[in-house]
Amino acid sequence: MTAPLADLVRVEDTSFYDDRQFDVYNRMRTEAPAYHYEPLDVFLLTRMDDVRYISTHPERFSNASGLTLNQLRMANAGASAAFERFNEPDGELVITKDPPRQRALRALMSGNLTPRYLLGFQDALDGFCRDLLDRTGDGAPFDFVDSIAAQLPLYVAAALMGVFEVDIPRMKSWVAALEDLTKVTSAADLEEPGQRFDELKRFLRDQLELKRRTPGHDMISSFLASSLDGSPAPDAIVLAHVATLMSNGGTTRLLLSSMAGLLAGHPDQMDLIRADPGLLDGVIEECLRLMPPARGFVRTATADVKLAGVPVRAGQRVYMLYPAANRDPGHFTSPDSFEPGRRQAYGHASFGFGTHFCLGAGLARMEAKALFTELISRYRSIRLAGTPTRYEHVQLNGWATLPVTLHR
Amino acid sequence: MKITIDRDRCVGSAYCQRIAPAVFDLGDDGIAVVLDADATDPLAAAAREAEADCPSMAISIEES
Repeated sequence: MTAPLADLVRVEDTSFYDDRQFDVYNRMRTEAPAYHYEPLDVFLLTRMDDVRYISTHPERFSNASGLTLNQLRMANAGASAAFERFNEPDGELVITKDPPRQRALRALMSGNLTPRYLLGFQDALDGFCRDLLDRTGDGAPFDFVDSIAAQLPLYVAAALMGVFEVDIPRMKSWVAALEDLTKVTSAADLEEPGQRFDELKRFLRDQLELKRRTPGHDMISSFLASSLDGSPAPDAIVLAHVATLMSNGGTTRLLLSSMAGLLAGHPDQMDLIRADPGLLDGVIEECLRLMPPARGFVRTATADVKLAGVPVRAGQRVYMLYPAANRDPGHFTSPDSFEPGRRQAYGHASFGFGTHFCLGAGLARMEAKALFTELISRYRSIRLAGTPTRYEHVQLNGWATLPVTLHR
Repeated sequence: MKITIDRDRCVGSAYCQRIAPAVFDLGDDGIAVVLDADATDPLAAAAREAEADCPSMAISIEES
């Protein structure tokens, strides 16, 4: 006797996201590929083709009315206004806009995130990787998340933004605040991360003033020199986008720690990569596919539409489940197995598709490559030194703690 | 074959450059450019994989 899907699909419950989630996705993909999740009146999409279709048709599926399940939950509780309070009045954000406005904002951001621009930070990045590994590499057990995965993206963000490393502990607390804002489900829970977010905005406003007076070779200075609609980009928009850049610290932390966990479970890969460092790219993609740092995003239908044969009315929400799409057997053979270098390795959904494709994807990959290149040049293996704990978050996926030892 | 990039769709993911570096590169603006529009196999096969994986479906290939 199999349980009805309605008893199994608990996407707002963090305990849903253990290894058993994948069997549920397999059933959803065949029994109800556009599954109506009644508590939030949202359709859950588990097939790659549907995720691709929604992502690449922004005129039919809007980003402007909520992106995460907790936002829908807040809206149900009538707490949307509490949420809005923390956004800058004119701080348009690329991820919450639709084309054509989205394209203009995206161009403002992407010019400062091109591979060529990022290459200018490669030496600094390599230096951070060496420093972090120097501090942890004495053979004693340590938490990979806290000591390395959480640190590296903050150092990189500080270098890109041209702020001082002394600000890193505060930046860490702000990244946590940004992650909490995608987790809270009541107005009361919003207060504390909201206050830390306000603190971040004050910090960034000060930085904007500093860079305006003394521009440097950093992203804040470049933003300030960029134009939007033919005039300098407004402070509120620069601020919103620099905050977004910092939130990259969260998802990159999750990617780096998932990579370490995967390599601990597949010691043979360490030897293979050591023999052929070019293999690392495929390992990064396979890690992104199996463990997407962001589990999914919401879109809002702008007109009546059919998805997987199911009618969706204008105004109803859809939620793209990336871990499900990434294991769609129609797209990936043996989808549950870790096979670096597989065909269509870049076909995963973890950075999204279309016009909202993750702006930080290149940066995240660059950080993963630099860190594990350095780590593998020093150590033969990563071993678990205890039981890792999952990060308790509906939208974000990865380890909260990952105790490891490194061996030469 | 004839390979083209739709510059309005391209999001600068650099996937094509990673998959088929002899066929695609990224310009200074971070948007993809075609280096070899009439690639033949095995480069053509790599170009087709890049077309399939492009996250913004900005690559089109006309088989001749």
